[in-house]
Amino acid sequence: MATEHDINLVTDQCSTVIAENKRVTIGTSKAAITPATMQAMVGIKNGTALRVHPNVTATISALTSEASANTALSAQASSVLSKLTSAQSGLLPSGNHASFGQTLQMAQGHCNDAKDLQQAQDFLIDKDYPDFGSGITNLSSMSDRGLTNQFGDLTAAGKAISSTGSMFNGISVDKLGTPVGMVESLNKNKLGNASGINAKLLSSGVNMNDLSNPIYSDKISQSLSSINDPTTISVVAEQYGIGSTFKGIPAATGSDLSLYTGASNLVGGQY
Amino acid sequence: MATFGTTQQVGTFNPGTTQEEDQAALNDFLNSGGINNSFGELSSGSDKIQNLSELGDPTKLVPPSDLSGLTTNLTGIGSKFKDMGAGTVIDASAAENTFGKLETVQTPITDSSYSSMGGMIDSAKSQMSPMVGTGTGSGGLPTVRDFIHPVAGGSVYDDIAANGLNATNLAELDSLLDNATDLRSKAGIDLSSPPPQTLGTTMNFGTSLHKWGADMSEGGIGNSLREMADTSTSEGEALAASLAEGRNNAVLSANGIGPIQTNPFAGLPSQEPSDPNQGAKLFGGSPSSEPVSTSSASGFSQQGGSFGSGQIQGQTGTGLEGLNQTLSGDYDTSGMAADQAKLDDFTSSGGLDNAFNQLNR
Repeated sequence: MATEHDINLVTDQCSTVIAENKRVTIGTSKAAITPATMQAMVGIKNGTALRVHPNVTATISALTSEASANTALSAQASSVLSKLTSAQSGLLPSGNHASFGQTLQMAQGHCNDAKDLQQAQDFLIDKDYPDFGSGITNLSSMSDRGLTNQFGDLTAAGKAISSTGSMFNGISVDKLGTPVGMVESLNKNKLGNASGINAKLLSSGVNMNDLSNPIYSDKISQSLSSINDPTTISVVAEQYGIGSTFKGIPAATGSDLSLYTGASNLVGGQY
Repeated sequence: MATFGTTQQVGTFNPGTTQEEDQAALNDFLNSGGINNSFGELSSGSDKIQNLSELGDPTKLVPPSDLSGLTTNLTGIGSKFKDMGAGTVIDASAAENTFGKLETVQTPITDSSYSSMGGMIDSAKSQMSPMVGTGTGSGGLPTVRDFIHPVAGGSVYDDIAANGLNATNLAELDSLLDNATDLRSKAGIDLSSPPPQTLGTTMNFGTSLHKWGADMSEGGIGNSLREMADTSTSEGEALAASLAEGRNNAVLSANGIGPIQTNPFAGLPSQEPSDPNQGAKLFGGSPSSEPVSTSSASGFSQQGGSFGSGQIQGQTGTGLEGLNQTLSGDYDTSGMAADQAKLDDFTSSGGLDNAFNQLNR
């Protein structure tokens, strides 16, 4: 299975890449003007590149004969002949085959639209709103992807996410607000040892290389809850830009400065 | 107040102070509000953030009024976004702005009219169908040939040509012609007023041949045009060849082989023939500096002036002539015999002439 940004094929002349599981042509040389197409254009201009299909010509002959004969099909043959020759002169006017190109473009556009529409209709007709995600129950919730139904209030959800500062930046969204996400973030920001969380986790028997394993969920949560040193909380909050909280950051007493003096990479200290 | 770093640089101790002085500075810092001051509304008490875990809990971080209406927690929010295809959080601070841009529209009329999505789609399908028309394609959809069979032919024409007219194929042809007229009307194709033949319409047709040639499916344009190409003329042969080029280009391109370059100047800015060097640059500029010899070379010019100009000492002429004279000039080349030999080889084989010819062209 292709992975994100898996370059599939790149040469000096053309290249394709699979990005986000979608194959995208990122470079193909344009060569629509060639000796062949140039000569074809001459034929398009002069009306010499295309001709009516031979079997259409044969059909016209047959219709002409039938129309002039006194048979049961004569009247209909005459009518069909008229329709056919009229359409022919419109589609491929003598000396102006370029107009046929426009007819082709418009016909193809119509066919493509029809195909796209039918494919979507066929796909959707046996689906219902909940098939497209949690919180999607009707046309309204389809338009906001079910977010309002799922979160209750989008503004409040935005404030909730923003309130954690940069703590979950760089963390997978499915770990947003989770103890595992917090621990990953602390270590990513070189706060794992300084904050003491790594020591707590190790002493609890948590495998640091397997933090996402559900068997460690409770221990990780308990470990985070057990770190209540005000200085540690203050510095971690500062590092994440959680500057002003509703509850308030506990006051540092100055009795424990090990965090400051022991981790130069934490706060940019110089000694 | 004593110096003890700042709130932005907590821990920046002055290496020249004693521990007692540091302690005094720290006491000053704490007495003046310390970290509390930097965080604003802080005070001691049991209602403060109690542990590290609470730093990830919005209910401890923002007033309840800000979270009014929120029916889930951060984990629920993350889970929903994961389901929607989100990956990694880039900047959580952008959440309010992003969410503020999302719009929710109430749709009570639709909700009361259709009990399910399928019902609404079914209704829309029946409404749109008359605009689509019918044809001989998959699912009854029209193909390009359904529009142009009066000139491109098709199975009914093949039947008439092979077996002659009869009531069945005549009726079928009659029906197909009516349908073609209907389809062209639906697509907005007015055969009574074709566009004038211009360079644009001619080029548009010609340069589309590669694209159309890549699709030789039954009912497609490429297939129809191939059958209409008048191969009794050079132009008809060229049209058939163009379609083949397009198809072959598509096959080869999928294997990393691009088309033949027939217009290397496509997209390049035009330039005046009288000033062939304009717009063509070999090098970018850099600050001038003395050349550094790797042997015992001497005699390089101390004068200013650009290389190849008449200002260089010992050189006359400019441009290519100047360069050639520079290379063959009367320089002290002691210690550079090997270099000179290589240089001679280079110049005698065309060297710079060859390179500059490209620019002069």
